[in-house]
Amino acid sequence: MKGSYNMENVVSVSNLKKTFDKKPVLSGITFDVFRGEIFGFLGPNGSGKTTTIRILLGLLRPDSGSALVFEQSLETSDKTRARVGVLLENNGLFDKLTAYENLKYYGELYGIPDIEERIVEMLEFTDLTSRKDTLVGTFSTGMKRKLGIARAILHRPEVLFLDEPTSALDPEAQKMVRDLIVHLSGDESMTVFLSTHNLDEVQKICSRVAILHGGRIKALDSVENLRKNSGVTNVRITLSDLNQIPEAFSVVSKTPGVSEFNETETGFSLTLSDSFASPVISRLCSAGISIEEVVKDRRSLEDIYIEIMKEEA
Amino acid sequence: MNPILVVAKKEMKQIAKNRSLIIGIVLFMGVFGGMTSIGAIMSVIEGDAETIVSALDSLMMYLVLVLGVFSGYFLSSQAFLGEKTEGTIETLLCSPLPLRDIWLGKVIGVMIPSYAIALLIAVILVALSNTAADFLVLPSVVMMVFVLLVVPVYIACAIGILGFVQLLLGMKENRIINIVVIIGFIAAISVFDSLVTEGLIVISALVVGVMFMLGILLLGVIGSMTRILNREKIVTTLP
Repeated sequence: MKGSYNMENVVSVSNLKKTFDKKPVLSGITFDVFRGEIFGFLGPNGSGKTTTIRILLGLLRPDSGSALVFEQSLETSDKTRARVGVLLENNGLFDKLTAYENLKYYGELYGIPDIEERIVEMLEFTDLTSRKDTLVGTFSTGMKRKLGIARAILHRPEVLFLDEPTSALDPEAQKMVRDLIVHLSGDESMTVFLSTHNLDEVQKICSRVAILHGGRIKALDSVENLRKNSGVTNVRITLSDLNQIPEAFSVVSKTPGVSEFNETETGFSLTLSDSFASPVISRLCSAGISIEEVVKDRRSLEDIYIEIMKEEA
Repeated sequence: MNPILVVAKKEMKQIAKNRSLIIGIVLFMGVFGGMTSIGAIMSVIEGDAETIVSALDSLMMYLVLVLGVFSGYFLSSQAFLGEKTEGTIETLLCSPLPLRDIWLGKVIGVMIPSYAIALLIAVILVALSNTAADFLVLPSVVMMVFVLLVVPVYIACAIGILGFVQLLLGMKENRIINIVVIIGFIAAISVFDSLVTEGLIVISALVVGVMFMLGILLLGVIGSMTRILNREKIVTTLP
């Protein structure tokens, strides 16, 4: 499923700038999201993620540049807003209404013709049928999140904006939400704009990713390309004799291109530039270090993300 | 269903389910309205039918209006400010509804139960008068027209302006507005009371007509003021 999108633009952001109290929050960001893809939008707190989403949703006005969905500004186009589903930090649910009443309210707002059938379908989809007539105020965080997703996709939007959809959820509920997103993108052909801190989640389900820092996009590519092009590799080395670790460290520390050396239970791990992997192994062998196993890992998205954050710091 | 009415229906449903809010309003209306009306009715109980009807009219004129408006104040905070504090307003602003329709739906949704409370107060006042008198006491026709036409318009005006202000301003400013409204409410009660008691306001067809026209005009002004509302102003004043 990852990468099986076509190239029609659903979201177009061009040279977007926004300032709050003379402090720049977005400094000219540009990216596109294509139909059918799950687009990961990453960045630390204060990087401008929420501001970007709010501008895209027409909740804030940009100082300059443009943020369009289906080539329209959502601030002015009521019809285009009907094609968009939104799950923000708040689930958009009313505690004093039941799950059914909440869905009915939004269904009527969007003028869904087959509303009763759709509500039943959504409650089944999110496994909340038995809680249909329960007040949302009594729901757990996970149940509220699930109902929030049901609410967001009730009107069959073509693009879905999700802001931290798995925050405050237990691992099981996180997986459920992840599977749900993949299902929506795959089976329902929905474009998903996923803003999150959860790098593992992005790595698992996103086709492309943008990493935002200080109001600027620091990386924008597919997860595979980011990992491939980072130029850095992790190598895990298992030793026959753990007493040789100090000696191995001494050899490695004299080798260029190695940026990190960490002792492990079975030996040590190295972070090094791609081209230096073979020379390091050769030197270790030449030095008489008895190597049992060498495992070369691609760097994870988390490693790349942390590296970008470190560079910026 | 028209989306404006969908919003209105939801507001009414939420009000109906908010027991603490309803109990608070009933207690306030019961204590305040009861104390004011029983004293006023008892003071004229020995009078003739005309005196009692006149006293009832005077009492209804300000009590039904002011308590109806104050009910609107109580109930509007949940519909407007409540959605800002809970954050649900952001999701609503992402729906296809124009901002003015959201505002209007909420005004209607709060106005209907507020007006129902005002009508209930009117019925209670008539019932109290009849309990005290030994003949059938009904308000004058002009007063009935006043309650049916003028009261709902002014309740809608009050909710409309409060809702507009609550959407436009931040939490701190809204707290100040709340204090101003309560002081204004107390002042309005005493001013109305003295004007009616001293006979400076006498209910007549002309007074009702002028008040109705002024109310409609005010409603129009408030409606056009909503043009200055925009999504950014609401979102940037979220707590």
